[in-house]
Amino acid sequence: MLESLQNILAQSLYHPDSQKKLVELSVSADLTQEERLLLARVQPRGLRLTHLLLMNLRFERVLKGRPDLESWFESDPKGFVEVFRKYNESAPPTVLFAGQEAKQFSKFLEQNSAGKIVGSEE
Amino acid sequence: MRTTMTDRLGVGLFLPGSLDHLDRIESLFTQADFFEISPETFLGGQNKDGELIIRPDLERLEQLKSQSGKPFVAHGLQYSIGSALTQEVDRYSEQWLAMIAEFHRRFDFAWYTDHLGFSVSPEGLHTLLPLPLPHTQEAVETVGNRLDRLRRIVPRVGFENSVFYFTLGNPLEEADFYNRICEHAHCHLLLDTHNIYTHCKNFSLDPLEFCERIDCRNVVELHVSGGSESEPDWLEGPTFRLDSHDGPVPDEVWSLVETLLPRCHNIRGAALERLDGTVEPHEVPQLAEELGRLRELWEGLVKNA
Repeated sequence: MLESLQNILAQSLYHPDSQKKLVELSVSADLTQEERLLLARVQPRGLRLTHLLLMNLRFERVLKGRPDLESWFESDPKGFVEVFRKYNESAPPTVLFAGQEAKQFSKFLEQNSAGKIVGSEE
Repeated sequence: MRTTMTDRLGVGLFLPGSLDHLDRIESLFTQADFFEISPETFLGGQNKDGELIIRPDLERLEQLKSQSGKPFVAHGLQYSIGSALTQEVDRYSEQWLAMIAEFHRRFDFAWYTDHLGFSVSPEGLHTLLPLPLPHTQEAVETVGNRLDRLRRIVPRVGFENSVFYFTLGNPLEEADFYNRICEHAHCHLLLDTHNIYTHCKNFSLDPLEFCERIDCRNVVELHVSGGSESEPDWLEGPTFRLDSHDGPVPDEVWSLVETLLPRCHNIRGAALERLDGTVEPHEVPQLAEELGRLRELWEGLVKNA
């Protein structure tokens, strides 16, 4: 059941608490005993680091795709990161390129109150 | 069957997708016998039908190929050779294979490798980094299947030992997993020496013991590169070594190259890898030295063959 295993890992790694999500999904998924055991033995620190690296890469893609957002990030890093965090929770990572990611992020801003924040700062 | 002298390409240099970076390292081109590229770094997006768009400035590399007469090899990033065999991923793979075919038409790659692992999930989530596979027979066959599809385009294919920060199985047995895939898929291994160093450091393994387990007859190419440590404030406890390929080659990696090179009887090339945008102008002489050191080791191998 490689399919289930990979879906569980990908979903968990985009969750802010990857370890908790991994445990939660492992219980409910259609897995063999061997696969359940493999997931149970995943090294938590390594999982956490992978989550942080993925978030970092996604974050960089947003800024690469829309360099004009950098001034917002520089003037209000905490606020920007918080908006990005909400974006990450609501938008699954289904696009391939920085430009597509930035477009998706812009759409998120338009559809959410965060849009008003960026609107007032720009 | 052993590789003959004429099959060997020699010392290679990884070429980045950023033209600024490419300009910066142009003085190194004469030191390389072959060049390596990642097709993904020359993509500009997707058209409305989902087809991958190749950047027009790829012409610069085509000119380099025709002017230098040197061979090119490809090292892909996102074909996702370990993704489960589902319709969703197959659609993704087809887009990738069409793009690879176009690159191969232009560059006639001597071989094509990608990273071991999966970077797109069956549900279509992109993970941006290769994620580990379980050491199961299903995973071995899945990688074999995807490499078979790739082989229809580029006859010689293989995979690189990726760095994972967690594993789905015993970290020491990753080496056995490489052997099983090579045996099943009749493919090659691109052995990244910095990735071995990183994997062993992060999982507290002895690199020599890890290397002993690898069947080096499968190795088509060695990668030589550097890396860095994770940000200390990211996690409590010790930092992780990262396969960022953004720094000088550490002594431990040179030592691994010296150990492994004579064992790789079928090897065709050894390349210096430094990722996009990670070379400052003052670092170019250091890269030239690293290429020189790699050539000395390579020539030692050729002399003793």
